[in-house]
Amino acid sequence: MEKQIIELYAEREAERLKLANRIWIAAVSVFCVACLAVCITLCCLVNVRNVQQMMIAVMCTAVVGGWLVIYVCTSIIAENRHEVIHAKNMLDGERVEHEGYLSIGTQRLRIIGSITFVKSTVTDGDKSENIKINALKVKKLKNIKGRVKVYTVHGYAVALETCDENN
Amino acid sequence: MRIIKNIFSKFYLYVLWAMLSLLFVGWIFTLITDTTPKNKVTLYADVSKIEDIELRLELEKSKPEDIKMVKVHPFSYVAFGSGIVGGDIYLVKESDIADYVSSFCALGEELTARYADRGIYYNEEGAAYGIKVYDCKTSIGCATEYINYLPVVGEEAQDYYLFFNKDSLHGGTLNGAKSSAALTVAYAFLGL
Repeated sequence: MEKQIIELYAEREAERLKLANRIWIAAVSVFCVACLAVCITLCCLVNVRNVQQMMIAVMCTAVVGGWLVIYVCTSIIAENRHEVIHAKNMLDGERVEHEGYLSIGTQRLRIIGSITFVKSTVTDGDKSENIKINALKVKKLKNIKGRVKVYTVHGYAVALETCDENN
Repeated sequence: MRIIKNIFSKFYLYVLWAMLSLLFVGWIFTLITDTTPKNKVTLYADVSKIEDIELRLELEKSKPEDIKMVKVHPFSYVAFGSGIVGGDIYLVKESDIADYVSSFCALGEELTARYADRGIYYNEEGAAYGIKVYDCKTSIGCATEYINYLPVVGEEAQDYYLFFNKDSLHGGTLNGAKSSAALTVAYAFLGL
């Protein structure tokens, strides 16, 4: 069986996430300005007869627009930022090697203000090491079978090397 | 599923935003559509139904230059507003007059004489306080196009009277106020 190295983090990916975040921030800013412009326009169109309708329209624009901005900021942008910070830590950190059979758990755990990870173990005979795998990277490891070398930084898997079964 | 989870984890933010934006928009609209008591004449009507916008537009046709707007509200509006004491002119049904008469000012001789033929409300001391604006026996009244003086089901028909707030900033000679805009608006109303 041929050796195969799977790197879970790459500088390019972190940069791509950073760029995506910048685009999201720009889009949210444009959306905020557009909502504000709509509200101001509606306020300018108020007259004695349409006060209630205009007030409802402005309230709906402000509330729904604000909710969309909150959603994008707290989920998409915040999660991307957490991924970038985590990826940088992983790329800069010192790697520790573990060898054995990898068993990936199913339970996803979330650290507040950081990433979501999956608890996993690397078992070698009686020895067992608990490691964490970024939930977004689990897909890359789905087809891994047999004995592997897992490299970790601060307990998180950053790379995986399938071992030659003949050795 | 992930979207719903995300929303619920920050649900307090969504509720907080909704509350703050509703308050802010309400405040902005108050700034746009209202003005200080000095610049407006407010008419409160103790009636079952009123076309407040149409009546307001009609009365604004004859508003004096020193005020910016005329506001017309049913009494039920008071629950959401600054209170009934803030008005200038009141239309009150006969059975409710005793509850409010201490807040009204006397009409004075000129007004009493001018509208004596319509009917005048006198208090216990015999001072003239209100001008009749609706007679339930003849069903004749002022601004019946905009105001429904008829009682709600289960109540008896009553006469309605127009009063002036004793603390009005537009009472003119009635209470010594500089502006007499309330009198001008009342004349316009009594002419409808």
